[in-house]
Amino acid sequence: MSTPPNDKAAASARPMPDAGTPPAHVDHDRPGRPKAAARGLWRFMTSSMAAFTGTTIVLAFVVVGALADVLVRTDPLQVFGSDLLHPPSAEHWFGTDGNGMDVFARTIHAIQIDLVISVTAVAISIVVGVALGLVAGYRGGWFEMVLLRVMDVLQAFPALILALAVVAASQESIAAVIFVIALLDIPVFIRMTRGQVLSLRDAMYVEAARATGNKPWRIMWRHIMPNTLPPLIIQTAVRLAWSVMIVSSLAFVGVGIQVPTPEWGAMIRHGSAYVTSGQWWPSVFPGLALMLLVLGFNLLADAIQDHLDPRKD
Amino acid sequence: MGKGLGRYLLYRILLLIPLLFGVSILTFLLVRLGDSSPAVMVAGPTATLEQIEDIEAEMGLDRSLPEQYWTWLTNAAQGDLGTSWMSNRPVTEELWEKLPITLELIGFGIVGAIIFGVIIGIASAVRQRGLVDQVLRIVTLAGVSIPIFWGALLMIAFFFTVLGWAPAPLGRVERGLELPPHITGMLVFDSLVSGYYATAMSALAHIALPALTITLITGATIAKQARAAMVETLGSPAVRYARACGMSERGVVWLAFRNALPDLIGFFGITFSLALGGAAISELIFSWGGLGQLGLEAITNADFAVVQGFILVMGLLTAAIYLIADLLVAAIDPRVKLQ
Amino acid sequence: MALLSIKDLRVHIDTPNGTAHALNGVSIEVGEHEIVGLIGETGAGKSLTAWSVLGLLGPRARVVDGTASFEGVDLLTMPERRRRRIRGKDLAVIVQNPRGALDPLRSVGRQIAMTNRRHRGTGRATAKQNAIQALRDVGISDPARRAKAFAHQLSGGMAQRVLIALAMINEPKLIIADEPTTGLDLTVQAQILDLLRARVDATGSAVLLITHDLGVVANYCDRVAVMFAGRIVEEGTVAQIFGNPRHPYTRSLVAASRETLDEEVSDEADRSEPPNLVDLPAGCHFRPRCPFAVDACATPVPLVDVGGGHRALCHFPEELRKQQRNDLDRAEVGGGVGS
Repeated sequence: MSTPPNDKAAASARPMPDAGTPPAHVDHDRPGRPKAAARGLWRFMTSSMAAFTGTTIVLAFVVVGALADVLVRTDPLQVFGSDLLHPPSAEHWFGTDGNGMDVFARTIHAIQIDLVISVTAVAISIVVGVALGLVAGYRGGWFEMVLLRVMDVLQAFPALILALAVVAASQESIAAVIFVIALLDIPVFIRMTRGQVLSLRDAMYVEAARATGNKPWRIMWRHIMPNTLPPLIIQTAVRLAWSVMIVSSLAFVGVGIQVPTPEWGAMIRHGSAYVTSGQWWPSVFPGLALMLLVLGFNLLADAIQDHLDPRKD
Repeated sequence: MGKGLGRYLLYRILLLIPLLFGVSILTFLLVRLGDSSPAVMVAGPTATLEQIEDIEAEMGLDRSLPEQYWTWLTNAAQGDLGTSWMSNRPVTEELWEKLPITLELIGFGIVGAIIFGVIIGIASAVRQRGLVDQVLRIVTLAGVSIPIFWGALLMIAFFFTVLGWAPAPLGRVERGLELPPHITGMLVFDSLVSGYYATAMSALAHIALPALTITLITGATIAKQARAAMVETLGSPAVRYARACGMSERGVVWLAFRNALPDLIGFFGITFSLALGGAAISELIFSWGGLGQLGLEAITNADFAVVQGFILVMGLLTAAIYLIADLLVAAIDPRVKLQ
Repeated sequence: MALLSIKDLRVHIDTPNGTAHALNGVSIEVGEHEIVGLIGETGAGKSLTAWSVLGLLGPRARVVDGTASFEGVDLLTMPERRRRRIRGKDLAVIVQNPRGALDPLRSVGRQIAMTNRRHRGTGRATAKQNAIQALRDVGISDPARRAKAFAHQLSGGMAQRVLIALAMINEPKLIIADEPTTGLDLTVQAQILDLLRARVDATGSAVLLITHDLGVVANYCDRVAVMFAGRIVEEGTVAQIFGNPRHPYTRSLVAASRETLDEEVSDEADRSEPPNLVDLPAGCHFRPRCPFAVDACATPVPLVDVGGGHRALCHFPEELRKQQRNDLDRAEVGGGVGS
């Protein structure tokens, strides 16, 4: 009567383990299918309050930034000679600063420089970081060793202070800011990609691709890259938030971008002298804009994480 | 356990050596690879080309980079980090004097941040997706998104300019008050120990705003991390099993917290490094006169010897904090072992 | 009266795709000193049944109907505070992946002792002695030393022994063993189950043994309940279920365990994707996979008693017996011609 414990029985009673199938590919939002991408974006936006708010804020900043010259006719560099530190009014919505420049026009125009620097720096760090991370994770060996040690050293310094020192030491301010932000972001993308590669490298489907004679770069591109995409998207939003913060922090300390260039950090630095005497508008409004954009990116990162996380609880 | 921990400590310190070498090389290169020559700064605007060359020779700037690095490193190892051209004082002396001033500020700020952050994180995770959680998450995210320099200005505008509760953001203590004898260099501590209570009260009032700025901004980061770690452990099989064994809800939260602690302590290390940068900016705004203000002013004034010393100290502090964090984790988590 | 009597238990789970009808009227009884096997494929609702009874469903699952009386009191409607006093005392649990279930930061001896103290109010020293004795009882050599070990230092089999010791420490009336041997080596599986059986025989506890392994059921259980898509589709003694399966699903399980895969069974296996709990078919849930399904199967299914407490949830429980007889005849004929 009694049947001995038996492998086949167990196997037939439960579904096959799914080690051989790749973990959830991201199959929407592929380039070349704008309609599907738009639908995917809409579904994401409506998935939660955070997603909606985050997307709206970031999109609004991008649009307003791009159209700043059209939307705001006032020249951000024009000096209204008689109107120094004029409080917010119908003429100057956010008032004027200590140089007599229109705070509203400057705040809006600053979107361009802050966004362009951040996006460029993060884009560079993604390309370099993901490439290095893929190679390090896939090849290992001395290359990986050296890379990891160098990153340890880079991350042994408070990021902001390292950035300050580098930018202060060079004269090309904007290029230096982009360079240093990219430099500080690269380790993040290397670690992330390398971690993904290590966990996927020995997965069965990669093993299978290798066994059927695929070249390493092909395996990386076709099989490993798609799976690093979800964490990459989340990290991109996080790093964009951080980059915007660093750009303006540098300018606030007085290195990198300088007054009169319209930039939030530089504006806050300039306006900070008047805070104790009650003229709050030259520093509060640019700070508000800065915080909103950073908040937008952070909301986006949180929402994407929730959206992509299959176990919602 | 004790012996194992001792060996772990030794192992970690050995690991630190190559890192410190890297830190020193990077510190050295950061300043030397810049576009402007330190000699030009030292010589001043009226100097002739010969004078500048003389100074370069005197400073050893005409030699090869590895040679210069070696000289700098051997001097640094003996405690000689050069002389500040702004104050004309030895850099080591200045750093040593300012270090406790900054540590006191960061200490107040980060202890507050850990307390607030952990409490908010736990409250949020325990009521996951409830109203409390939603509100706390929004507040936390807003806190993470506020740039520290702007946060500090808002604090000043509100608590000093509008309400008048806080003293003016100019230094560590009201002018004219008698200062206690130098014990640690931390004003609140020294005043209390020496019985200078009026000075201590003033010092506390002065440290409140800059410390609170650090608390709010790093506390938000910690809260975010604490929530994530607690959500993870609250959903772990260990918690499920503990409930199945009849553990009370308070016991379960404590269990989840203890199990989240190794991750959290690791994260406190990272937060400390974040706070170092934030504190430097905070010092600048509140004219705090510590390491951060010294370093940032040296950076904007191209006082290279001070910049190098400052960055080196920052690197050493960060490395030390990471080491302490690792040791704490090793002490509470039996899974951490010599590999 | 049965020790545990689950009646018409219905549980719904909210999923992004809609409400999953995970349990659709589960009724099981476990008598004193009895070992009842609960078998079925992944997603059938075996574990969910157990955790509903314990009152430990996740945030998205809820009991919509039914009772689960334990010693005559309904566990489902009793306040959590009271249920907590039963869990780990009269109603103990053994789970799969024991190493993940134990607190990684506390020694196993301490965890056992804590459970003892919590429910029995034992003193610290006595609880410690009890824990060591419990470890000795589950065949762990040098229990005083092993009590100081942490979960990560134990093998899977050893950790499962610890869980059995933990379950036994308060002399429970019922133990729910949720796939206790999943993930263990075959030889270790047998040891663990032999141990569980021996301990139960010694203490008189009853066991609800959840497994997907028919061999385990055959060797260790008194009675069996077969689950499919949130319902008990057949129940009876081990002899009844194995010798005379009346539900087609049971038949395929039994046949697969004997490797007598005939055409229809392998057909069934080919189509054996788990049922969609959000959109279950009307009538018999097994219909899409049943080789004998006819139109009448779409009408509500009766639970038919085929004699001696042997019940099957099928419109045609007699058909299968005839079918089986035919199979036997055919096998004899086919055996003569074919091979």
